[in-house]
Amino acid sequence: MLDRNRRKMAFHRRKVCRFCADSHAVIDYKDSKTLRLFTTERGKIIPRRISGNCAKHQRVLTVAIRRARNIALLPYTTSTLR
Amino acid sequence: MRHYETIYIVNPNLSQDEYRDVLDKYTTLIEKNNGAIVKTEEWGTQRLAYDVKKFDKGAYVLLNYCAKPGLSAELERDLNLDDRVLKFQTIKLAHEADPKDLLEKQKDLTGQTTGLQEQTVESVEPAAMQPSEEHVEEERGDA
Repeated sequence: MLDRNRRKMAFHRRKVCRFCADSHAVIDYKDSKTLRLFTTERGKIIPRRISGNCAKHQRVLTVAIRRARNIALLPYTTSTLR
Repeated sequence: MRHYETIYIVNPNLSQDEYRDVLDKYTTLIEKNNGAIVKTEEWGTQRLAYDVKKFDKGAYVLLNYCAKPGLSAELERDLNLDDRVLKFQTIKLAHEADPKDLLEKQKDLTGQTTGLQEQTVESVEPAAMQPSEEHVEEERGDA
């Protein structure tokens, strides 16, 4: 019984990598609007296990977000009030 | 030739003439050193995600160009010394690229969609309000 419950929990919801599903979508560090979807309110990068991205695209995305942060398109953090 | 992309942020309080001066300075610098500019984009004054040199706004300029390996270093040195430039970032897009091919491609692109440049400018600003799609349980430690 316990075992069955646990199995049900595991099949929660299958998330699909957004960039695999849409082959036209390119990850670009200049496109801060799209990148923002993959950061929390705090500006942290959302982990792969939550966003559902595949490893390949998560890697590219991470680099893009870091570049966007460097040129002030995305925040490093929003702990400072503005 | 290498294919580079440099974004730099110009002081937003400059007059139109001074701003043009900055732009011209770096375009001529590339052209003088046998570089080829593929595309220049001016994003206009935008809010920065965080303060840079005490500025919360800045005028973004994007330079997409082909050049010999040493040139980007020279460009960066000049950008660094320039008070009017708040921040810059160079990215190498391709190790080996033919500027002619890139220019051709660029022409095709601009021919198809002319409104693209304006779109990018618009798309950046309202993004700040947009909540992210999947919200993780946020820690609200320091309130």
